[in-house]
Amino acid sequence: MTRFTHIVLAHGGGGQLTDELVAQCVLPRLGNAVLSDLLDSGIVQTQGADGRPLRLATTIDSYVVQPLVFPGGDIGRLAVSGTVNDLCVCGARPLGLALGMILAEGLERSLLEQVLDSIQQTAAEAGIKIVTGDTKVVGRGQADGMYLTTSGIGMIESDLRLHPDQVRAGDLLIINGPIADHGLAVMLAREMPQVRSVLHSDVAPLNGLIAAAMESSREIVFMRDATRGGLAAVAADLAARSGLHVVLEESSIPLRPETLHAAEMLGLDPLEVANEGKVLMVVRPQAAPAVLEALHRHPLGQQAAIIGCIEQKADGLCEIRTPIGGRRIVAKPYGEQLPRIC
Amino acid sequence: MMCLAVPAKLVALKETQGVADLHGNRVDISTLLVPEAKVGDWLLVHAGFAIQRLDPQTAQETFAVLKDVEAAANAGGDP
Amino acid sequence: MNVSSIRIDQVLQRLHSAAGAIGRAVSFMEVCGTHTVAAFRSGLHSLMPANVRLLSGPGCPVCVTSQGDIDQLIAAGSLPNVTLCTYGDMLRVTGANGSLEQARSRGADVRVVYSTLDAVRFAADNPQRQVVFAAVGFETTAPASAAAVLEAAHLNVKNFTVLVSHKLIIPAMDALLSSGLVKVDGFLLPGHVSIIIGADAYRPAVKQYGLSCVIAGFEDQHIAAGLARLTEMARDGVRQLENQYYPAVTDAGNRHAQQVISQVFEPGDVTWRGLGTIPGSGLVLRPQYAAFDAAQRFGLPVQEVPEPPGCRCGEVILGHCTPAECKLFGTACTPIRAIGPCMVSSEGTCQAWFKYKRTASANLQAAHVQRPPAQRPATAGQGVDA
Repeated sequence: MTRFTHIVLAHGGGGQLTDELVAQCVLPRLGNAVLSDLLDSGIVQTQGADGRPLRLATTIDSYVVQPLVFPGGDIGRLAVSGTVNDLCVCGARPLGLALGMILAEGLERSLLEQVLDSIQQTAAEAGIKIVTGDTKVVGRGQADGMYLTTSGIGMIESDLRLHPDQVRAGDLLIINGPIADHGLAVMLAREMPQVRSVLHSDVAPLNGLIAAAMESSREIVFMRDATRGGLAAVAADLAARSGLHVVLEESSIPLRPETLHAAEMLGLDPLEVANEGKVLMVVRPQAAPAVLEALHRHPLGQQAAIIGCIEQKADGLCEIRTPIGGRRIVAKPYGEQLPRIC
Repeated sequence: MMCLAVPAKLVALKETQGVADLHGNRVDISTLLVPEAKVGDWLLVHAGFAIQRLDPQTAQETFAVLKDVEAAANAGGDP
Repeated sequence: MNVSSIRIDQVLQRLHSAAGAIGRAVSFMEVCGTHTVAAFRSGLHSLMPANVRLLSGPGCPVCVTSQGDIDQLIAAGSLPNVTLCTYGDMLRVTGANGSLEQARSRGADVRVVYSTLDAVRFAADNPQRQVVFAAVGFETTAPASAAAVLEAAHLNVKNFTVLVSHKLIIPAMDALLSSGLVKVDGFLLPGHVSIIIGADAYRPAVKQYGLSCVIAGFEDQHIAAGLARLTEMARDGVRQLENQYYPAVTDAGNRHAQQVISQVFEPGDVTWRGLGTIPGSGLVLRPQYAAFDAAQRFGLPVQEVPEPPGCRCGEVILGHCTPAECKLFGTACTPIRAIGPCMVSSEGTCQAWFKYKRTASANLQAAHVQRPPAQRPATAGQGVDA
């Protein structure tokens, strides 16, 4: 691992370079048992007035997507969905969000209000409220119009502990639908407006879907939302963190033909493209049918599928079994292929 | 990618400026290198240029990304 | 070649059966960066018989671009009032003063285009800017560059130029084979370059050097079928060219594309990384189109600079050493802090190896990064297995 002296764009890619930044700069100074677990939310434990233990989840995300409005959504919908999803993949019921806005001088009021409308609609969809916020303004040309930050708090009501160390050989991997739509929709909108594509972002709050899945089974052992770095990042991470061997089945991974076509046009690997409405679940094998059925009944899970499994080998590697029956390594993306997509 | 060409159907053409469609993604292309192309033809497209005409059978058989297209066409609507 | 009906199990059986009958080790070379990546992605390497090797040759256009040419490109992109248009692959290629992407973050106007005609259109719409297109690639992309020059000439766009770095595959293969630098049993030839140049273009070299060659497409099954056929040809001593990408690839190729190329360009002596100057192996603008030459317009001389110390890209692209055999691989040279273009380019052999062939020790190192200090596991080993 070499020592970097300046931040590069790739540090924001959600891949190995982001990990390096966190490991070299953040954890040595701020690390503690909760933070260093590096889950999608920080889980803090306290006691209620009645003495019973309370587990609260808290999370924060910043949104720097360009363009601000893209097919299927906008920065506002992203800001609500992303933070809600980080809470609910940890098993938490979202209670409320805080919203920070950094606006650039010159931003049109109509665009600001469009984004705020979107925030309100998405929050309503998720059944939560924005309970506090802050607004700052910076000079013309800074912040590319608008940056948003949302922080969320949620309550973990079940006694389940969702963690990579719960994962065992034989467990199955389930995803709730087709991959790569978000990153490619944004990428095309930004870099290639001359391609009139039918792609649209999958950005959506998943708390309803995940609640339905958890109601159907107590044997979901771990969940991640597959954002920056795509399915490849969360699968490779799962292998490394659990220390076990993850196998993905390429032909089982849902992928729309128009999305694959766009990826081929751009020379990108769909596995590494960000999603904003996809959750990877690790479940005990006997629980898979019930979880799948619960997902299929929900609008955001109709194409849910089993896409892989955990094998006994303790090598911390993720492999994918290809359509011709070969195998190759799936590594966490190193740099950033798609800057500024979330 | 320097070399990867993708199949698409020509849905509009004016002189050498055409529109190619695949699964609903529409992109402007030039038919300068395949001047005999006609609307309705399957083309191999690379970086905004058609480089070869393909008969529908070949297109269908050669490219995995097309495997749903025949089904859609047979259902009575071209994508 | 019917992808949907290729029985992959039969193809693999043929491959293994032929490899078994040969007895000795055989190696085949593919000469297209897109084939390099596609072969890895398909998982084919994990299915190959132990005595068959698929080597990557000088087929990544970025990787074979000389350091001097890369520096020239970045110098052009950094000029004030210049908008540099490029395919995405070129963004992260690094020269003496960083990459185009870094130049962009310092304020240079570098734009990724899908089509060369977008660059011409931009020039027409922005007459106050000088627009330079980075014309890189083999014969698949050369027609697009030629078409852009013709369009600019037709529209009388005076602020559009191209920085030409196109390479030709046949002279390169010729130079490789005549020098004895490459010793392989056959070639997997690139389907899309062949659509342009035609199968007949390879026949003189096939005859002269007694080669076994298969022209193959890029789907998983195409590559596997091509490799199976090559292995059978090696077993049977069959030395000829077979076209498995018919009817997309014809014997004559795309005549219109060839005509457009030769209208605007002519063969010239150009420098290849690792191979030096190869006569007639690249394209240069014809004199009547000299006005579109960015190198001339901006006075950008090419200075040949030595390879960075320790970089073995020149040997990698000839199949003389594997990426893992380069001391810099995976340590000093990674996709983000790349020293040589084989690691920067998304089609480079080194980046493909880094992405697809890293094994347990490297991944545990990644885990090491994530665990809190108290729980760091003992790392089994450093570095990368070949």
